[in-house]
Amino acid sequence: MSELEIAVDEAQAALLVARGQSMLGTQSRSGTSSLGPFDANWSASASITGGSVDLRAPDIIRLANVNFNFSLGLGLSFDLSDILPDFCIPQVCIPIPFLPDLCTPEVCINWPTITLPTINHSGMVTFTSDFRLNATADGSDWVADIEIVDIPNLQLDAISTAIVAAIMGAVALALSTIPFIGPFLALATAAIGAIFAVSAITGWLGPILSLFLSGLTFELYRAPQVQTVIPAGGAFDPAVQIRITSLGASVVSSDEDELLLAADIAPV
Amino acid sequence: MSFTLSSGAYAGVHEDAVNDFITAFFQARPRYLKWGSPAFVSATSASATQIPAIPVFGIDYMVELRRPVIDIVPDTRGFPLSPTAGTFTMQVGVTLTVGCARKGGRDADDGAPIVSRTSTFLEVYVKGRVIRDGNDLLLHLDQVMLKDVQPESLAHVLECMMRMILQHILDDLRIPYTAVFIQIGTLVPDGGIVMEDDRAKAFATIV
Repeated sequence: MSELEIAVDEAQAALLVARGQSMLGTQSRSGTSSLGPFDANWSASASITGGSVDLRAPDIIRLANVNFNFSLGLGLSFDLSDILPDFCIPQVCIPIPFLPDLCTPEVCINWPTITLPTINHSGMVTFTSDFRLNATADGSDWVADIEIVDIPNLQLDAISTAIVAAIMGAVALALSTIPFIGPFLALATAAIGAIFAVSAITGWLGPILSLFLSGLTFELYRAPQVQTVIPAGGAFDPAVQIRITSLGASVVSSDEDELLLAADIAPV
Repeated sequence: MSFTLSSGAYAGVHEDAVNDFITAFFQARPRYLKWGSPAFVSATSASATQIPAIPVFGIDYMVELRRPVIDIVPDTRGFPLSPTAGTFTMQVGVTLTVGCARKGGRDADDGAPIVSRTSTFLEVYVKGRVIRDGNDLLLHLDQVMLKDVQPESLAHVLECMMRMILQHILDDLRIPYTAVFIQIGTLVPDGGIVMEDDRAKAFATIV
């Protein structure tokens, strides 16, 4: 039995989780990853909010319907020659009696590299996942937090569909400015559309968003190991302090599920 | 049965933790263990507190306490005064000393009265409750028992004195609610303090 036991019910535990989410704030990441045959530069920011708390003995907090809010910036450029073959219209000469042949010049088409303007998309997906309770010493503090157990499978098809639409809109705009594309426009659009299919975007987006969920931790409690119980009260009355010598965190079940912090203390 | 009952948050402070709090208090502020009139304590300091002598009679006296030990119901320490439902029992050793001046006697050098110290040690047992006063927890003393003091009427006089002295001293031992909840959040205390299972149990809502 510990010297101090502090228990909160699910509603109060939800408050601690919400504070932990708020403290974590918005996280940002950026990188380059393959999207079909191309490399895509991306930057993303995300925050986690909400969700209902389900305490599960002995050490799990399940968060259901958590809002995963994110903003994504996608920078994409690709060589159209990778999609459409370059070609040349050969020289054609018409022999004219008594005069030199009349020849057309050879015309070669080398498709350019297309750089799309940054495609921005903000969205929100919900997920449900288990988080495991931990209590550890961190420097001169005691910390109780919850860390995600498994990365959930995010349902991204609706978001991917929107991103595909944005990409294809930008592609159409970029293609319209390319000389000689007219006869090849339908072919190019179809080829690019096949590359940027919804499944491909989902396969690209999932690992990026998972970076924000890997090791996701919310801090529920942080307090100094040495705590002032009674503040100083004058020249002869210094502060009264205790030291928290150990801290444990668990979920206990009775007629109610509760989050329990158990601590031992000692005079300083 | 749940810890929190109808509240959102609960803190259970075991009697060992209460005794750690008390130890921390008297270690930091030893002057609360020694109270004496000017003949014994020339001035209040970190180690002793000056109190007036008993006027008119000019009796100098000193009260010295040993660190109290608390036993919250049920009885686990076997004190002669056992804790009953909703209470704790506290054991504290008290040394009472008086400056005993000889009437008419004078010091040869400066003419001051010749004073000798006379002391007695009392084993005091107190029954009380932990009560909430706003956002603080206080030890409230209800009953005092002195062991082996006769006649009974003298024991009653001393018990009354001890209850008043100890209550005065312990009134400054105010433990904030936040301390027993180890600063888990902003707390709104909820209801009174329950004493059972060797623990003082406090309830609150985190806002």
